Amino acid sequence: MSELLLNRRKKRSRAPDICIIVLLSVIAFLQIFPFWLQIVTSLQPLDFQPESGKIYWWPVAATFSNYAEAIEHVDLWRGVVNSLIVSLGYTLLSAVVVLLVGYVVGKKDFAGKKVIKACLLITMMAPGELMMVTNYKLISDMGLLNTYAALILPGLVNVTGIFLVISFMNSIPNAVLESADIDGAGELTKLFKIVLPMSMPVIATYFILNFVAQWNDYLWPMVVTSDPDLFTIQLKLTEFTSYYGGFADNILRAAALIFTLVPVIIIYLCCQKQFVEGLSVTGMK
Amino acid sequence: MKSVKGKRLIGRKARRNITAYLMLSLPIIWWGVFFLFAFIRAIYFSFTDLRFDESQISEYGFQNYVRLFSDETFGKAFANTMIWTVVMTLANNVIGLLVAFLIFRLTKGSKIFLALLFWPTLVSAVIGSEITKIIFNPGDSGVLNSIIIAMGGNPLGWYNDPNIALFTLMILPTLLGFSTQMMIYYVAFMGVPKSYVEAARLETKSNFKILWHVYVPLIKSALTYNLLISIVGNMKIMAPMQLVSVDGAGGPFDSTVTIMLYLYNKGITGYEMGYACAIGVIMLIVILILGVVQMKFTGKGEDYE
Repeated sequence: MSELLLNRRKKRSRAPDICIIVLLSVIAFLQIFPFWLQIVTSLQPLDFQPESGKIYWWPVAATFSNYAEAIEHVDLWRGVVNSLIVSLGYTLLSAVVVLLVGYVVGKKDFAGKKVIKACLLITMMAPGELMMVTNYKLISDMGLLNTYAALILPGLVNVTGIFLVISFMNSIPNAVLESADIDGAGELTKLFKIVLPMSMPVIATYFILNFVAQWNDYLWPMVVTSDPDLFTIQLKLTEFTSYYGGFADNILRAAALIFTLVPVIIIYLCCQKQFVEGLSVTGMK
Repeated sequence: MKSVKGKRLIGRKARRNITAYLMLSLPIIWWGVFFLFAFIRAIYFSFTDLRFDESQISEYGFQNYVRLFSDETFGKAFANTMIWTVVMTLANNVIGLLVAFLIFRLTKGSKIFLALLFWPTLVSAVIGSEITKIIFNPGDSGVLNSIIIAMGGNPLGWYNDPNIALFTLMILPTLLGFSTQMMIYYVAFMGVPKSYVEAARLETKSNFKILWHVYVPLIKSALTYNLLISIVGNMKIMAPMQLVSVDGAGGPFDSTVTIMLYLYNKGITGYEMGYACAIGVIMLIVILILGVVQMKFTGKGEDYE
């Protein structure tokens, strides 16, 4: 009897399965399609002229030399170096802050903890961009415009990251910390010798999410830098100006776009788990 | 003896507080400077005619707010932001919810589709805008226009046509922007107890009815959270407008100007910081109101016990 029921259920779910797969594939295709067009364009020879109204599914003669050309023309390496400095610098420094605050708020008892938690919540809810003008003025008054410091320092207390760490702290047993107390370990010893090694998964998640976020950010860099030598890769993209004229520009622009997107896609392919974790932890509190 | 013990206890508590605050001191100072101070200063500046130099403030009062009410560009920015927020919140959440449900219903291959539909979350604002510029290029050589011409139609002005510019900017974010919502809905679907669904199956065969009457009420917290982040995120929209519109300021004829973009144009490029801060304060108030209204509608988001 139960077998019969199971069979029926299996049969019923087969047909819709195919419909669902087709529908989802269409959506996935629509999402990839514009990027595929860019990949094809980026591989066309520089003197290529497209026929009007024709979609090129494949380059007429694939060449990677456009990438070298685009990198040189847009000065993309400079952008890569700047983006790496900012992304790594920000992520590493803020990871220390996030771990420290997450540990103290998540694991310690002290007066005023509720107030601090409330402040964290308010900060997360308040749109940070509101403070763009005043922070821009502050950075400018401090003489920090067009420095790496301006790009890295203002956002170091990452509230979303703090919540990520706080929720992770539940998985560190209090007994471990208590036994360290009995051994007479100081707070810093506990933080770096016990909490840090045990928190590696959440630090990895934090690191990957924020590295990508920094790599992709353009607004704050646009506010505080005007010197092309300090432009992050996203700003380099917006600064793309006409070079050859005509379709050759489109080819170079496509190459620059794909070049900027590829590192992020590679990170995604390697660390999908972390992206989903970051979402579900901050999202499902 | 007893009193000594008591004292020691208080001492330990105090010491614990001191260590905690010592450890938190630097982050608190940092937060104080770049959040609290910046926040309070923004409110203060909004009541002044600050341009850039604080020593040159000559007027104090509500004049910025009065000016906002008669500022046509701000009115346009406000309307555009509201239209954008409503349309994009609905689009991203409806598509996200349906796609998540479809993937959830799959017996096989759900992981592949999750991965395949989640990657657009990595596309930066700059890249997305560049793609919009290429596909919806108003010239005859634009990807869509050249197809329209080949099929014998008239090319459209897309983001250069004030009537459809805002709509044009919505297309790519609709197609690519639902991945976060989708993932959160999917995780929520996984948490719904099977017994609820099986009970409902006895009553109806319609998957849509089951989604609407069984799943949706049971994933209220995911729904509330998604709506909140969508509304707050979309209220702050400025990237597609800034990066796609020809003048970078929300043109043509302010058809794509938004509150945040206007704030940027006034505060950062236009050196009207006092006015920009007033725009920011209005924005904060609107977001707070929307947040409260949204909470009232969907409840606090408590799921099944």
